[in-house]
Amino acid sequence: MKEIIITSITYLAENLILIYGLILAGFSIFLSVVGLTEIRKYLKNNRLDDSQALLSSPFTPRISLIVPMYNEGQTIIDSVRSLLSLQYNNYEVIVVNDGSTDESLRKLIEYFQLIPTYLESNYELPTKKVRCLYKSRQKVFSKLTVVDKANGGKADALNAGLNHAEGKLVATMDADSIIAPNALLRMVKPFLQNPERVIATGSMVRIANSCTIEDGSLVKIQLPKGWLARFQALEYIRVFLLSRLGWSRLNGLLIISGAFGLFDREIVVKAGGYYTKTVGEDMELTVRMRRYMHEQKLPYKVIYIPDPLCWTEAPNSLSQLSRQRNRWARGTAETLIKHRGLLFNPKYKLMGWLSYPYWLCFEFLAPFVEVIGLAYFTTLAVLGHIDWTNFLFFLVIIYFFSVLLSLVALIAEEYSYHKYQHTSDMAKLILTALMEPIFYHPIILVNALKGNLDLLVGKKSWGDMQRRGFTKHQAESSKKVAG
Amino acid sequence: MIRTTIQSEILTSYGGLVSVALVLMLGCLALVLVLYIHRALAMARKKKVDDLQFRYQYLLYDALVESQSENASDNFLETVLQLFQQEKKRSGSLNQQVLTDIILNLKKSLTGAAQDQLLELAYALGLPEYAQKKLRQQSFNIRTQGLHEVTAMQINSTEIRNEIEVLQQVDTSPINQEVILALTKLESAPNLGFLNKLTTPLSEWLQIRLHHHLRSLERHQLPDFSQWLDSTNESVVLFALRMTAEFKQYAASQKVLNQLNGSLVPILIETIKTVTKLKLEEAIPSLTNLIQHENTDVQLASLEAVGELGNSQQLAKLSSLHEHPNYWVRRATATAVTQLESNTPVS
Repeated sequence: MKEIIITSITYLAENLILIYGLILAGFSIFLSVVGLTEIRKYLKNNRLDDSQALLSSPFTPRISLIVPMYNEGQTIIDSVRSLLSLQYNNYEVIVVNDGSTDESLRKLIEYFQLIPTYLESNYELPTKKVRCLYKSRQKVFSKLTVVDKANGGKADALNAGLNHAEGKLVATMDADSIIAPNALLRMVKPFLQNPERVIATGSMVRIANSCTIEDGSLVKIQLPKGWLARFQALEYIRVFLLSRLGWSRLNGLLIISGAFGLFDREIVVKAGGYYTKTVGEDMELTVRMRRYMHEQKLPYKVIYIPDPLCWTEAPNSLSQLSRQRNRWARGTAETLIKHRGLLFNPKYKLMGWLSYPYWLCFEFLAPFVEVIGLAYFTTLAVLGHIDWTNFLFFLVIIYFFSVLLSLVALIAEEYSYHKYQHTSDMAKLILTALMEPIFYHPIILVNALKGNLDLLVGKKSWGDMQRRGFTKHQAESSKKVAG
Repeated sequence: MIRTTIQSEILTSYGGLVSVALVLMLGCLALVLVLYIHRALAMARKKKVDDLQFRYQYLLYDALVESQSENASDNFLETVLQLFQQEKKRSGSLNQQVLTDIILNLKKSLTGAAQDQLLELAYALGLPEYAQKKLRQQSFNIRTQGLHEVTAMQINSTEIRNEIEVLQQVDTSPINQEVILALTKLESAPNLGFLNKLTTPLSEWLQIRLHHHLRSLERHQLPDFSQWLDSTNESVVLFALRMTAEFKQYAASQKVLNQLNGSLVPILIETIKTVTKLKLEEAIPSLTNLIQHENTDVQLASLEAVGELGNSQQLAKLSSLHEHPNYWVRRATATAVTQLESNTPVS
């Protein structure tokens, strides 16, 4: 009897893990193929530069670019200056000071010569108290509005920005992200081209560590020098160029990165704005906007474009990376739990049948399955029930499969944007792909698990990220972010 | 043994596992090779194109300088052609794509006689035929490029027009849009007849690109856009309103004013914007009624229009909106009131 029970459990565990692995591999291959096809199509359709018509048109939709700011005194002046000179003729920049305790607001007031306005505050989306709205007395900075409010977190700051946004479209970004000068021109195109209503667009996010930044703008692209940032650079290329583009093609994308995204303001507000009780507010908003459109039975699209339009500083140390991944894991779990009604719900079509189950099984549950697999393997090893030859072959297969996916992503990058042009970059990226499953993946796994455990014990905080800052405000001609 | 009873055949089959592992490993090696070969080829190609661009630009500027000298022949075209013939003899052939790109890029920054000379040069070098060939290619990419080049070189022959019209029958929206634009650009007086037959929405993107071309023309070359105000296609009406406002076609004023009685919200909003741009004060009575409209966007557009066009006589009509529940309506009301207070009533 005992042997039958052990046999059954072992059989189930072994085969379930095998089936799980095969489905995951199948999905990865499928998404890669779809992603590659989509990049090719996108590049083909956008090969000719037609931005001049858009740049000078009086018919472009107004865009409000919302920048939440919390203790960003080190970089905020350069960031805002760079944002005020983007290539787009109809936009405003709304900086939301979320109760900073450093000198961010004072620096903004001094540099941009801001004065308080007598406009009343809008609380269409509930937020913490808005203390004051500032505008510049200089005409050259007329695009800038600064909203000073009590501290309420990133989502609350974004909601305050949404409340004061005049644009039909709203772009949201992190204060420490750097966006390309043509970012708005590129991001707005799907809204203008598609016959169906586009409710959100996102673009590829890249790692800015080791790149040269001057006055808040990217002037020289370099592969990160540090290994940790380099692992993340490869990870971002893989995720954004293959997976997210694949999901975008299927119209099943569940997340527009908080680093930079463009949204239809009307739908964001009707869906209820950013949810302030989660640390994964970007994913939660995308899911809720999609739910809203399904519930109203309105056709819509969420589109991802592969252009590398946003550059962000990746964590440089293990502790920073741990905090970030812990937060991402909690954010994903919170969103999936909050929207559990989507699972296999025919009302939500592809989102209910494919996107949500995929995220649940292969993003949220993946670390647990991996740990169960490891525990099972350890038990068998202790009991002496491992066929080591078999095991080694499996290990080799899994390893080369992961490397293969990374190499496919590098091929996509090489054929499309080819951002890392130094001759040695290719060798470094290939080496990174070979090392990633061994050194980087375990770190991500542990932190994803820790994030879920933290969620269980009710941890809600964001965790600090000590940024080096892209620029120093001294007169340096060339400034680099430490890799 | 537990192990032998539970493991499926695939797990115990070493041969299968070895094959999969080998395929993956070789796949990785192949991808690494592809990466390196692609990079080497791309760099070589880029270097070749850069060299040619430099060489051809040098020849063009050389000819320009020579044409300015005292001993120069009167004909710039002859000088350039001579230089390019020598270049052809030297290197065996001319790269027509590089030449097309250089000439069309240069054309963008020139006007008048200089631009005409450049086009003559393109014709003399056989570039129109090269562009025309692209229209017959299977690839969407090459066809689109061909369309752009044909229009930029102003090749307005019946043969070309027929070839372009054939492309219109291809059932892909991007090609259709390019064809519409190419045909519009090739006509000296733009023929927007396609708007009469259009059953699908005219995308915002196409509207922007059409407008970009139309604004480069003389006013007398433009059609009367009010002819499309009665279209059953909503997007066509919106386009007609926008163009009427943009090109200040005052003759269409009455037709535009009639649109204020319509019920379709997007058309109503665009009409309000149009009467504001055309400064049609006759619209004030209708606009003051529309500020009470049930749709907030109509209210906002009307408030902006009343502020722009009205005077202090309309102030009373706005008083009820100061307490409106919508923030943007209150804000637009405040702005309109400020404007109206500074506007003197027309006697």
